[in-house]
Amino acid sequence: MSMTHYNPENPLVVQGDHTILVEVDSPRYGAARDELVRFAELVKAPEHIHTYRVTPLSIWNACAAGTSVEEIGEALRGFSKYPVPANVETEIRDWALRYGRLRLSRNGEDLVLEADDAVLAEQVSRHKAVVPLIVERLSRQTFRIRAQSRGEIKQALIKVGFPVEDLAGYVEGERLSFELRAALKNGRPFELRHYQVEAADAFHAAGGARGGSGVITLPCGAGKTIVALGCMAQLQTSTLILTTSVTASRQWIRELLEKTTLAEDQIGEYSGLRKQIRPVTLATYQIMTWRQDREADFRHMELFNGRDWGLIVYDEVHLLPAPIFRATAGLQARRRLGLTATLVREDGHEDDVFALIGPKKADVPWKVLEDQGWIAKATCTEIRIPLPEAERMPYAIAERRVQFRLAAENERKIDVVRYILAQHPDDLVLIIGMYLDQLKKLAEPLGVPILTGQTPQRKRDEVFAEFREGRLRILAVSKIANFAVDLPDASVAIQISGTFGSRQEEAQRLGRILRPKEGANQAHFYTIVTRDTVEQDFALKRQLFLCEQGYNYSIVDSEELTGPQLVR
Amino acid sequence: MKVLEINWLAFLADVEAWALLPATVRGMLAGAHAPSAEQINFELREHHGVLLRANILRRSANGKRLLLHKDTKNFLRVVRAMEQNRELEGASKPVFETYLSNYFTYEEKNSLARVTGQWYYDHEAIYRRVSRVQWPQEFVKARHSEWVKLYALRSFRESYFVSLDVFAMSQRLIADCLENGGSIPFQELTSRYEGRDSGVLDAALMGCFRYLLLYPWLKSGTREAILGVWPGIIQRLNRKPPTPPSAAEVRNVFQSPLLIHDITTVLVSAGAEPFRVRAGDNMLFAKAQKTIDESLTALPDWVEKGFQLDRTSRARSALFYADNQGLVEQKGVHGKDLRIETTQRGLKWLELPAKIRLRQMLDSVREATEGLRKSSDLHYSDPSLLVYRLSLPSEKLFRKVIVAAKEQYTSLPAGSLVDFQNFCDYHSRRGNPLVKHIEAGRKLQGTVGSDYFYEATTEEMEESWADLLWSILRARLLIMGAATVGYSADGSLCLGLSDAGRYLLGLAEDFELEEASGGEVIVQPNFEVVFLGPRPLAEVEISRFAERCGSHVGLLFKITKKSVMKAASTGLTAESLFEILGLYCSKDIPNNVKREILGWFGNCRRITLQSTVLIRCQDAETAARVLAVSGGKVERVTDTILELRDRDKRTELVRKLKGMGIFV
Repeated sequence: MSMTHYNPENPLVVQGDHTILVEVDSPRYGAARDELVRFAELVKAPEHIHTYRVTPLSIWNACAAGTSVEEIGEALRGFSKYPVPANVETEIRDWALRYGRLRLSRNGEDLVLEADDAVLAEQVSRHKAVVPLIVERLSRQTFRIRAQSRGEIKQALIKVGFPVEDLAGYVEGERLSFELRAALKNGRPFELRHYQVEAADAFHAAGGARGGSGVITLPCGAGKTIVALGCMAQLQTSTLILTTSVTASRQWIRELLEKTTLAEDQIGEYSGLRKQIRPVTLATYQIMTWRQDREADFRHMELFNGRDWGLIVYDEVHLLPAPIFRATAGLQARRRLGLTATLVREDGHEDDVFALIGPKKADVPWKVLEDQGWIAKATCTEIRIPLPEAERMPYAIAERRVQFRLAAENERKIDVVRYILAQHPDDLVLIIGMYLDQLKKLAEPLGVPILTGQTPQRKRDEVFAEFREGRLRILAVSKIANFAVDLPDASVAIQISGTFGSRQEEAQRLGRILRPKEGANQAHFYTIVTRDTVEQDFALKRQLFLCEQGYNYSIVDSEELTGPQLVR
Repeated sequence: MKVLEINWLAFLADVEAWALLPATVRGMLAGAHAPSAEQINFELREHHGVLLRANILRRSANGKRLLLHKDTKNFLRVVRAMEQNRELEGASKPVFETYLSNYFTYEEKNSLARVTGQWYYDHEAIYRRVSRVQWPQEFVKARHSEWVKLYALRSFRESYFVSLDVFAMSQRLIADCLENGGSIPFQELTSRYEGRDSGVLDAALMGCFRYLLLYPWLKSGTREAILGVWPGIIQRLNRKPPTPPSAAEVRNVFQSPLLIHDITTVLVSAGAEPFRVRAGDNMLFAKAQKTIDESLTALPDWVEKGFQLDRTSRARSALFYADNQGLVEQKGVHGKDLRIETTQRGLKWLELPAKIRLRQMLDSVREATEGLRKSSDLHYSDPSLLVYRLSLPSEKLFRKVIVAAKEQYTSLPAGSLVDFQNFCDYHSRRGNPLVKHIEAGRKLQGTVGSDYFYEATTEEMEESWADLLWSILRARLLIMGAATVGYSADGSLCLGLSDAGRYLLGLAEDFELEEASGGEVIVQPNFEVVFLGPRPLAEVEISRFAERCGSHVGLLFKITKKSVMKAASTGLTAESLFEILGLYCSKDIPNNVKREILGWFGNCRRITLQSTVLIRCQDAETAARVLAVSGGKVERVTDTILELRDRDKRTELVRKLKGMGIFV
């Protein structure tokens, strides 16, 4: 903690709990950030100071990508305002030195686990989770492992702090020849953006043993699907793609048909409605984890063996359910690609993602993509409206759940929605709400269609298509629009009420509108909140989260709004 | 003398066989218990030949097994006792005390104490006398009659040195040991003193043991039986001349004005919330102590452990200095609300740049001119607090101590670090004013640390001087940022003077201190308050309305509804809050943060609780009748409930109502 060696020009403050504060306004910010993303995870990014965290996983991800512990130390010391706390450097070194000390390679039908030294070999061989997986000891430093235990052994070892470098290779899978199109069907040219190419190349690693499994982390709207297409095109093999919903699956199918030379009969949908197993098959997590009852088997897991898959893609890998993890443990011989906007899981199973899907292969900060124009800048505005006088006493004496509903269904919100619509006469607008009655009251006078959980899939597809094509400018949606629905030209979202569930839901909502726009490249997110109610308390949590994601967040009282109130 | 009262001649006869045994066998035989039959017959089987020849073992009646020779048992008992004496090689006071306890009865110890002029058993006094190099040296030169007269052990059946021959033999034994580097192997005694009366040798050994002139032990490693003077004396006899400390290669360097940072932390914490003090012992309540402990900056492990700078002791030092400098004060009523608060002087101190704060601290030590402090027991101590844990009755000697200590630290070479052990060793033997005082034939008494001494010995004062240098480094120079410490490649502690140290000791008129002055404070849109550099006063102010998450630098606060409400309850307004943030923050407060804070303040209301008299009437008509006679002192709350505002009118109203047939 010496007060010497203070360098005010540097942007980092490294704290003893392994968090790193980054001063965005520092002249060296860009260079520091580019270094940091290699070995630290972005935790939050409010306006002036971003926070990163170094964890064992972030270090192992860095090591897997070829970053050395010396480079990490130099980056920290080189960009830090103050001396780096000794415990941080020591622990980073300790974590980094654990990577690569255990390696898994192939030996005929089985695998060989090799430790760097005899002491480590002894240590891991005595661990109770590992003992049953060792078939025999081949030497002081090597063990024979059954091929089917490949995933389990990696999981067991990472949980005791020793990540395994998996060099055992993959099965090639059934060959599938296709290409990415140079132009879309409407004639517009198509090619991968530079960061998408880099991500796909990092995953593939020219076909070497070090590639073929891992996670691509890109912000919402940055085109993770396209990266997956790029990976598939390099591998030229049959692919199973797991998604979060049928809508998302069908979105994938559209992308595949639009951007590759794959034919319709080469792409299958495996869902509650259809059971097509084709060279490229889209399935949902829900169908894969469906079973008759708690005691029954997950019979659709057979799809994993349904073909000789050369690649399995896990869309939104941060939402991977536990049964899929278990099944994936048995699929380690197949290439695996995870796609996500964040490696942070609500359930803390990031180490399982590392062990079973693979290390992070690419990560581009959203700020970089935003500055380069690949994702739209978004402003968030919270409009506060008063509770009508007549509602104040009923609100004051109601129980909390009812209070929330009273505040959420405040009739004055409809006027504000109309006001906002009037400010965006040419934009495509999504109106998101929780209460169907409220949505109907709002949408019906405007002639706006409403999509809910009860809307049949076919109807959903039709309406989304109209919206995408611009024939429909305003759309009201309930929860279903949260996940993996791709609406390229929605640039305004108005949230009139919400479940305020997980952080992921908030991120997903904004993801729906973060798409490159012709012209201004600006997107708007509005929330309408009843002032001085429980709804405002909940809105604060959302406000904090969005600020930490780096969004510009402002609060306006409805009394400050002026202009036309109605739109037809 | 318990075990030592044996037939030493018989021991000498047996020890020759002992000398023939390998060290491993000796180790087994000298273990805590006699070897078992299993050990004898199996583990020692390779050595049966030599053990049989040495008569340590014998065959059983049927010849199949080997047993310990019964004549050996006494010998092995002594050997086992001497094995325990191996600890004597550590040559410390506790080891000496254990030896005394093991071998001397209470009466014997008392008689030894009387020998040293005490009227009661005082192991310190005995140790002091017999651990001096002069103790055996004086004996070797002493005349029999004088020595016996001085040291005769009264009330004992025998005087150990009654015989001139025994006395002379003892002197010869000790002289030979001293010439031989302090010790002689037992197995050499027979050949050395061949031809001498064996009874005399036996008595001489007993006498030397009795008077703590010689000691028997088994040497570490080889288990050779050794007769020697006190091992501490052996070490002194064999030590090399002191060499001046030279520059060392170090790693893991540490230097920091730790005390200033800790005082700052204490003032900031006390400024936010005064520390509650226990009435019983004037110590802080656990919660307050915990608050400070958690706020102090972490030190590298090797500094914290190596210099005993745990958080609790740092907090105490910081509070002590802060109090000393008038930066905090105790307020309140004993047993009620006793607390420690930051003073105005303390708040102003927080505004100062770090260098000025450190300079003020160093100047207070540098320029202490009021002379030495004299305590009630007429001992002197140093008000500059540089040389503490020392008090002496002689002012002149004390001043010499201060000068010597400063000179020795001043002699550290600029720009490099030296081995600290070497530094202490050199200066405790050269330029040690306490040793010089004794060598000039003067008696010395006083206190160093928790050790009180009188008639101090040279050995003690060398040790005390090293302790003093250590305490100056640990508790003064290091924490004031005046010393740089580190470890050499072989793990030795090294030290040097920093710029601040050179200033403190008068070698320089100024010093450099890199500091993160004017660090930016930023309020984030997510309500976090980040300090990019230390701003102690800002910390105090912002802690009034924000929840603390850290200290010093980094993410320090989060503004929450709860923290704002708490501030509002103390009377803080939104305007004052924004004024404070405006004063310290380098960037505008985000719009959403402002709005929310205003909203939270806007939701605050003040109500009063009041006692009153309510009159409940059974119907509206009765209420109206009561109102009519109340003379305006009663107000209507509802149709049937009234409030009597003036309680003094209660009796009168009741009387009136009674007259109307309305009973209370």
